Amino acid sequence: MSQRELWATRIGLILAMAGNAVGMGNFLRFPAQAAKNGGGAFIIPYFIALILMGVPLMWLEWSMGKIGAREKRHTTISIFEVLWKNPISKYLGSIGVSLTMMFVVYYMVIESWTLMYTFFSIKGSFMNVGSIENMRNFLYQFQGVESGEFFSSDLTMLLGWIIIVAINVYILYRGVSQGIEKLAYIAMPLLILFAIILVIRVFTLGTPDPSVPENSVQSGLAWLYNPDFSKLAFFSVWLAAAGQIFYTLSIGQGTVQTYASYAPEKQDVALTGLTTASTNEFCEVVLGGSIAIPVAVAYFGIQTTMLIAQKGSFDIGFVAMPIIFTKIPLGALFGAIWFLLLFFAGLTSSVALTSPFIAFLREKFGLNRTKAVLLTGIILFLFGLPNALFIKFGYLDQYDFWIGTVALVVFALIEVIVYAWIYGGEKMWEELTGNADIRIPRIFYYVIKYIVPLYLIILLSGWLYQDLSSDKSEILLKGIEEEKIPYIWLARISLISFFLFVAVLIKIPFRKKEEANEA
Amino acid sequence: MKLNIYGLIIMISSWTLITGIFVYCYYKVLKTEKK
Repeated sequence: MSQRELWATRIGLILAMAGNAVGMGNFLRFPAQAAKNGGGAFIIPYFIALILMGVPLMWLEWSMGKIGAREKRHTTISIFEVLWKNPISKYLGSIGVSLTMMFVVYYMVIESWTLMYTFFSIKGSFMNVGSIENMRNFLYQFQGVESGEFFSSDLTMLLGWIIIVAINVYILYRGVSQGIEKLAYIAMPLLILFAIILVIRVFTLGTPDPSVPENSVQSGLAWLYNPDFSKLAFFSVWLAAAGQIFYTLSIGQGTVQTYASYAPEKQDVALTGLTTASTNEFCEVVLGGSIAIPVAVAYFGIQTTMLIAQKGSFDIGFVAMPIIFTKIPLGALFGAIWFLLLFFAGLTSSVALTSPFIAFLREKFGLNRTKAVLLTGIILFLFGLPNALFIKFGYLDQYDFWIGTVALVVFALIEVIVYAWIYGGEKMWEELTGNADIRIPRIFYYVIKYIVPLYLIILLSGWLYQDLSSDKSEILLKGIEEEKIPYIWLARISLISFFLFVAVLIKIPFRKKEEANEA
Repeated sequence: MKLNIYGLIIMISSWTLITGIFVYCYYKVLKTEKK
């Protein structure tokens, strides 16, 4: 087993955990999802999913990490071995390590866009781009999807991606308290400060063009919050809300357990878990919901904003927002603040996502941090490069679908079954409520044991049904251009290969142990 | 489009609830912080 590292302070752990949860999705995905799914009516299933699934899963994962802290185990692989004395448990636990690693390889590509757009803002690179269509071309040319007047190749993005991998590797090399915790102490307060500055700027915009009074910040808020109760009858809205909760809280991965396992053995997980969730929700609903959509409606009107939102969250963040920065006073400054905010949100999440794999290499092979981080850096590079190079062929989208949508829910379901059912509901409850600084109502015992798995099964079945019955099925590759298909299969094979690779790695030290015993 | 009464209620109540829990949690964490 590796020598155990510890967080220097409890508040440091909470900030790092909040940094893990607060990501780019809080500022881009949530407002787009809310606007697309019935505005204020979306908030109702969103809060229901938060209470019945999000917070309980957050507590469950924190308390698994607490077991890890006591048993000096830092990954879901070794924690699952404690929860279930069965040879299969470590392989089930390995999904938590593999999926976070496969998550971060494409997440870092997106993170690199935020860093490079920060530079573009400061340099004024997109200040004369003009229309929405031109700004979209700017983004596509930057990503290497097409070439043209702004960028002839994706070299600029690749440079940004290499810088991002290097920054992440350096922070992780510095360790838990000197690297990740210090980053959280700097990045989280700055992130909240930047978001507050932007919210104040947005709320003081009023009606930018008095000749079009319907295009205002108030209209944006009305679009986001005026409920369309008829949408509550659509199952897809409930699925979108539950999916958003999953994505935003960073649950169903192996990160919360790894971070919590570096805390003292007798830690409170009830208050710290709730603090993490509330920080994320503050950043998402109060701050995230008050920036991109209200300002986009104020400048483009509801119809155009709706069209932009339909194209996806990135079009709001990297197309609509840059155009707005070209129109407001001190636009370069506010542009830099916006992209730096996204960069910090991304960075605190990516170091968290990489941590379980480093912990795995250390505890299974006894590697020191330097060697483990170096090996992880090589894997980040090897698996990340095709994600950066083949964006136009849907390679990154495949990773996002299988990892960012499907695998998280599957792993969360496995966690609940192994922990609340096989390990035992009462023992789980004792872990959760022991040393707690707040009292968790007993009803959450039943919520975790019965409602959460039911919710997850409905969510998974709903998504599968929705995808398989769609004309654009991701699973069945319906409506996909011929030229993309080889790349999509390459993405799928690389994902399966990595999951198998980790499973084989698990096997190696055990064989050695058995051989040693025989000798 | 103007914020209607339902929109206003949803916006203010969700912001108040989330901010309230957020502030309470940090108050409680700082109060109970043990190194």
